[in-house]
Amino acid sequence: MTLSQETSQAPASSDSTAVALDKVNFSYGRNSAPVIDIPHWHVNAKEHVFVSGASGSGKSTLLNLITGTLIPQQGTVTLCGKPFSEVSARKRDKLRATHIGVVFQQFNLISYLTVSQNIAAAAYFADNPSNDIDARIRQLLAALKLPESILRAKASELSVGQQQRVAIARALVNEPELLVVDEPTSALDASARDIFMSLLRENARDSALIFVSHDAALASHFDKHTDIASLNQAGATV
Amino acid sequence: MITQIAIASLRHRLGSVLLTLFTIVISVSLLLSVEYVRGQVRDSFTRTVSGVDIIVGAPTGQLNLLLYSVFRLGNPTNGVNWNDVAWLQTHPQVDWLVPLSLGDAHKGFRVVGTTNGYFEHFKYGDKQPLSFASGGHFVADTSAVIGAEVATELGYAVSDEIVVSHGLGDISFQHHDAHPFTITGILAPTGTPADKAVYVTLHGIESVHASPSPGRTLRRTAITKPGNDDSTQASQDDAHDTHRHEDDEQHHDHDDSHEHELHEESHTEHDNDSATSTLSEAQPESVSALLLGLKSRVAALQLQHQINNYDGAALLAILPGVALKELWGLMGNVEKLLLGISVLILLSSLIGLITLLLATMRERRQEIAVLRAIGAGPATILWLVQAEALLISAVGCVFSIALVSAGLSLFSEWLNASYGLIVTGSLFTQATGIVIVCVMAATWLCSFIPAIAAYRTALHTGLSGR
Repeated sequence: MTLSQETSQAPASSDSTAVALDKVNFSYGRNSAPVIDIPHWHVNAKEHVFVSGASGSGKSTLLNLITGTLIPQQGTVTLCGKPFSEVSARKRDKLRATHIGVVFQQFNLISYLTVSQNIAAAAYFADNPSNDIDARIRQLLAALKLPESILRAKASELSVGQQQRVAIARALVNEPELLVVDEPTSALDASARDIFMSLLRENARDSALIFVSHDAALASHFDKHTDIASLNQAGATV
Repeated sequence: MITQIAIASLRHRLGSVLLTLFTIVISVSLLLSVEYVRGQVRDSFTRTVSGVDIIVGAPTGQLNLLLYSVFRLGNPTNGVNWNDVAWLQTHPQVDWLVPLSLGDAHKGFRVVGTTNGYFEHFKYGDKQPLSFASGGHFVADTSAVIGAEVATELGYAVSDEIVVSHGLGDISFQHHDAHPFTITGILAPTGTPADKAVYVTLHGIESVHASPSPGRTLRRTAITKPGNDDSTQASQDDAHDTHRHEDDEQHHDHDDSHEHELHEESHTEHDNDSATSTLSEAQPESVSALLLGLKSRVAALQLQHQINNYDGAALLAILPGVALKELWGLMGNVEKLLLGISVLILLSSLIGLITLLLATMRERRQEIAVLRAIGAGPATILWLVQAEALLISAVGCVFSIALVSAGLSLFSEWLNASYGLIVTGSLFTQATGIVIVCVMAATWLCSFIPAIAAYRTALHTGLSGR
């Protein structure tokens, strides 16, 4: 794995691109200043990209645009060759379920559901056949070094580190083309953070990974490192 | 999966959910009870009389005639002169005729003077005839037949003697002690006012009230059409010729001129007569009402018209079915009021349910963000909230049905004793089904309020839940 300070700002062929943003412009209000203004940016399939930026620099907004929970006022977001930002909301939800895995900073899991239910819910929304899911979940738990006994535990009963690993399992259950991770290590100590990063890289080998953090020290784990300030011409503080 | 998530979500908020569930159970139970009792009351109403084509009485309102002749409520305003009864007896369209003489009571139960034809022809429910739980019909003028409830409440058995009292109240100071009646039969329960009546012979009740007057004698013409039990069982007893009546107009109306001293004289005579213990065919001067069975029901309207326009005396003929419908129409307003109150209580419970779901919306932003991230659309979030509301209502309905069923089986005897309401059949009726469907539909509609709030939250909540 090599570290690169380059940003992928040149157009790429759609079949090798996990996600691409083209002339994307977004603001939270009609008269508000744009928060995101990206002429072009893409992440290739299986490429692991680290996006750093100060707090309020638009990192979360960028992730919401990539995952389709926000729609740009101008420009196009393309996911695996599909014009993600231009399809119907229903179709966008389905595309997100099947092609994207998400790991948050915190509150990753639904606290009152069991580990098994949390992971199975992601498979359900992606229309993943339920008979294959149990085996897939057990496989993921083993890969993430979590005991099977944890399956019946409620999310609220887990430690923060365990919750983050279950979140990775949930994000990977549908074998997504793109994994979006938003500051997942901020609540972890250094040891737990290293374990988390190691497990993430190991299990996300077959997916493109966009990892957002203000902690530039984590950049060494990724193929590419992009500062959001260099991507975003809006230059606004959110 | 949505149902699993909804159930888990509700279990997560068990305390507030249980409180909401409690209010739903109370309101749905109330609604079910009102609907069930309404149905039972309506059944009781319609089953009170059947097989009677026309009821004839002195001119009054048709409801009043129905109430006193069938439901034993209220008082007859006047009597029907027996001369006019004779006209009906010989009418070619009349198949049978049963006279009723009202105005006395026994320990709060109405006394009905009638003939054995009553037990033969009067029907209730789906044309079910009266049957005897023990004993049988009148065998003498001093015979009495009592309803099932009278027997149960007063602990009477066949061969017991009873004394009727003047007037209709529970307490009377004028008992006809000198004219005891002997119980010859106890009717099987019917769930109708027939259970609460004491039946005595027409001649018996007449004798009780007879005044010794040379100008008044019980007639001895046939009461019923050929084939009636009375004609076959009539005795040749001449003893009742000695019953003399002083005043033809007042002897049966139990008015103030009904003099006790004259009774005493008459009673003395009757005491001597009663030893004969046979059924007289003597006729009264007047009766309170007549139940008519026709040879063809098609002729009912025509005969009603004839009776109402009868030249001999002013008479009122009513069709029981029409009068029952009018009576139920009046009762229906009370029933609708009860139903309205129950619906309002249900609505307040549903508002509680909405409040519960709305109150949780702020704390559910993170949960909604997670669901959105894993592919749940706003419509799914909307459905999830609705599923939670529907689950609470569905569980509430199940508990309500169990509660009302248990309550009805526990209190069925009390309902029967206190209100004459016969609790029969299952709670799982079409009406119950309609109530449950309406409750679920109302829940579904009301749940749109929190569901739309969740939908909007879902639309505006990013991945971080902010």
